[in-house]
Amino acid sequence: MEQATENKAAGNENGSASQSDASDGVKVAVGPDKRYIIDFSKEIKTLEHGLTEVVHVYDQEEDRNLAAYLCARRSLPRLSDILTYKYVGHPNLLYYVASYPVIDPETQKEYVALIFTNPDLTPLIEHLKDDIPKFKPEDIKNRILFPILDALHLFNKGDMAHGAINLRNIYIKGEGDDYEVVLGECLSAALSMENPILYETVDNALADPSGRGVATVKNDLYSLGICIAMLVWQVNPLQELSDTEIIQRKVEKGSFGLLSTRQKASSELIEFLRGVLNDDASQRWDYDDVSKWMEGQRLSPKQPPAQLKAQRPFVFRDKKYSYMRSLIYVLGREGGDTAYTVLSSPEFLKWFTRNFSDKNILANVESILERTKTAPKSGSFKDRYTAEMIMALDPHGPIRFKNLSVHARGFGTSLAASFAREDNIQVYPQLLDYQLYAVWLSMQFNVPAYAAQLSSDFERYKQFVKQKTPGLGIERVLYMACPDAPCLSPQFAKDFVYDARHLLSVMNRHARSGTLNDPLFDRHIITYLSVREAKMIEPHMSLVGSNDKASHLLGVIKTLAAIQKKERPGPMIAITDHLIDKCEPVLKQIYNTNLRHAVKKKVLEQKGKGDLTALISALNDEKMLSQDVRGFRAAKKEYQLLELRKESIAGTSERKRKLGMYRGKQVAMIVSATLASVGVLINIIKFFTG
Amino acid sequence: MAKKEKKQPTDTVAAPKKRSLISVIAGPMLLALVFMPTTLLLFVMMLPTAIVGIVDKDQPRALTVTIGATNLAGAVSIWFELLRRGHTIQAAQDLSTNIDSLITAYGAAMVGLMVYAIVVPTVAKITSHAAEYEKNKIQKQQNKMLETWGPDVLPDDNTGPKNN
Repeated sequence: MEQATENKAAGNENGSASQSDASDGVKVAVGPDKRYIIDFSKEIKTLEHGLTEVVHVYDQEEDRNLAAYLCARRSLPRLSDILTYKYVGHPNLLYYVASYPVIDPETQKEYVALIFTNPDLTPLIEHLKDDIPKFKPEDIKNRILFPILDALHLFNKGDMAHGAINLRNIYIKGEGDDYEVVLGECLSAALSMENPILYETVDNALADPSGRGVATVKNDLYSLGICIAMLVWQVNPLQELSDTEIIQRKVEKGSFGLLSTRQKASSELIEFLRGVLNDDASQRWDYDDVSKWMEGQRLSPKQPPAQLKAQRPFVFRDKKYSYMRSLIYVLGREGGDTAYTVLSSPEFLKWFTRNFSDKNILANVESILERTKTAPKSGSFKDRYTAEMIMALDPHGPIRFKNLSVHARGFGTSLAASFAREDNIQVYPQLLDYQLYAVWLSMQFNVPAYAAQLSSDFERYKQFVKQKTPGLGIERVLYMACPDAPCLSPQFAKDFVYDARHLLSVMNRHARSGTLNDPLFDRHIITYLSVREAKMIEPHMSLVGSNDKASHLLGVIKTLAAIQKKERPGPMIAITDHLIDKCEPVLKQIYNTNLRHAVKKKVLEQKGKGDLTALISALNDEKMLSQDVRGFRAAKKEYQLLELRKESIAGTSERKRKLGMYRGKQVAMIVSATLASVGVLINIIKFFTG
Repeated sequence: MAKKEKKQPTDTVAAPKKRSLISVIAGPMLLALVFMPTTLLLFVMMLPTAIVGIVDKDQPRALTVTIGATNLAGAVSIWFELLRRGHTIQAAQDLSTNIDSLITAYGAAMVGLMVYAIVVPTVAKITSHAAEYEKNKIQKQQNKMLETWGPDVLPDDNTGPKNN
């Protein structure tokens, strides 16, 4: 993310300045010297391929038009892949320019604006509207397929999958015969999350969009294959079929079969399509296979194994299902008691054993039946049974539990998307608690290479969920399992906090508008920083996680000061002043009132300066505080001794009174005796002297 | 052995009591008879002391001593007058009934009473004042500490300083 913004934007700690132009809509300037003018009123619909809005940007320095994808936090944009994408920099890839946080002046909602070049582009999908194919097979191969394959090669070298290949995100630049293909961006949303089901493999299509997991170049090649097939046969299933029907057709006919028609097509392209659209992931072409094909080698792609099909269909809700996967898909979406009733019914088990002979699936089902025989049939038993049986019958599919359908490696993104949508996330801790990931792994015919790491990760997540301390819990699972997740604190519902530096800026903005929450750091913020910037917060975790207001506040100030010191975003005046106004509980921890007044004075001197480090130095001088504590302890002891002394004096007052009386009597006797002695002496002298 | 030890104390204690009683009573009686005029004079002049001696039960019998000392001083001056007049019974009778003599002796006793009435409460007050002063000094110190360190300096289960 560009950091120049927040330093150089004049007089604005957010890093952007609003300019209101009544005639041209609402524009916001971002970037160094306010170079890029984002116009929220000018939408560029041709570049929109998902849920992310695209708007017009004008580059003042180079006098050119650009486009900004306004990514909201719920899209989970791939900010960590920006550098790799930029490195790919292929001429047939939409060129990345810069990215900045920006606030829509009308809604006050914050986005991350991903700015790309904006040549005059037309999505390829527009060319399917005519019945007459626009592109000859040779052109499809040489002018569309090959350039994109070249770009994907660079993605593959950078170990990055594109994940957003579809005909709405592949463009034609130019007109007539003088055209070039441009592959669109893939950073504005989580991997594969906004890609339509048609372009996803069956395994991925069965999962929720946010639960599709990690993609590889094979997934990109598959998506590209679907696009090419649509161009070759001039078909667009999206116009006629629903998502459910597309999945059903893919299961029944295969991905290649879904799109192929009787229309003739180039044998070369057919070979390519059979290779990349193979529904068996292990047989599907990877980039090496494609390279060989591009060089002219004949590879004879293998036919995918036939989908499990019954001789006699199973009837569910008056519909007949011959393919196991189709039935499982429907039951998975149904969920609840209905799915359980069907999957545990003798009729279904009889139908299964009579019609399917796959040994691996049989073994899976037997193991589930054996395990659930002795399990108590209460609580979540039905949901667990349904989930485990579905995994046994369709091991390549996602984990389907209650209303969730996720691949194991899509768990993190799915959790993040649920948090961002403010959905009920209770199903995720349950999935961990019931160890459904372990069940899924045990159902795989070939143990995947990532199994050990996956298992270890999920075991850790399971332990985190059990611990309620701030910094742990389901929030820690979220930020560890989804590295691209921004801070999803409810406090930042309208913001996009993507790193610690930006968190500080956003809190500063909230302080300025008086919308800061109490406590300042909730569980999300604490955990987000603990995972992403551990060094900033770990030394102060005990303070930040404390229920005591003063300790929490001190921890927050220390953490924010550490962030400011490391990131150097400039003075954060609003948040500093806010913290100064709230620091009374911290000052009250200083026992000595004179010292407290002196510290308060020093703290108030920091108002208007925006230096959190100076604030913490004034507020929390360790040496001074330890001296204060020592002094207080000594004073408390001394006070106690004085109190005892006072009590003993009070207790002996009666004795003192009696003692005084006694002494008085003694003195009286002495005075009297003295007077008497003097008198007698005088008389003696008088007697003897006459 | 024990019997022998028991017997010895019994035998040794009984004998001195009988001897001291005789010497305590007989001696003064003899002296009183020999010096009858002095005895007569002192009997009359020391009457206030005798009365106070009966009334005053508190140890150390300070009132008796205080009045007795000044009363004695007054009585001695009259006794010297008796000696000037020849130490006779007649002179003792005259002086015992003389108003001036009585005023002197009894006035001296009154002075003793006044000494007792003034000195005893004064000294008692001074002593208790010292304790009060010390208590106030401690209280001031505590108040200052409270001002400097706040209510947390109070001992636990204590809501405030006790002003007794």
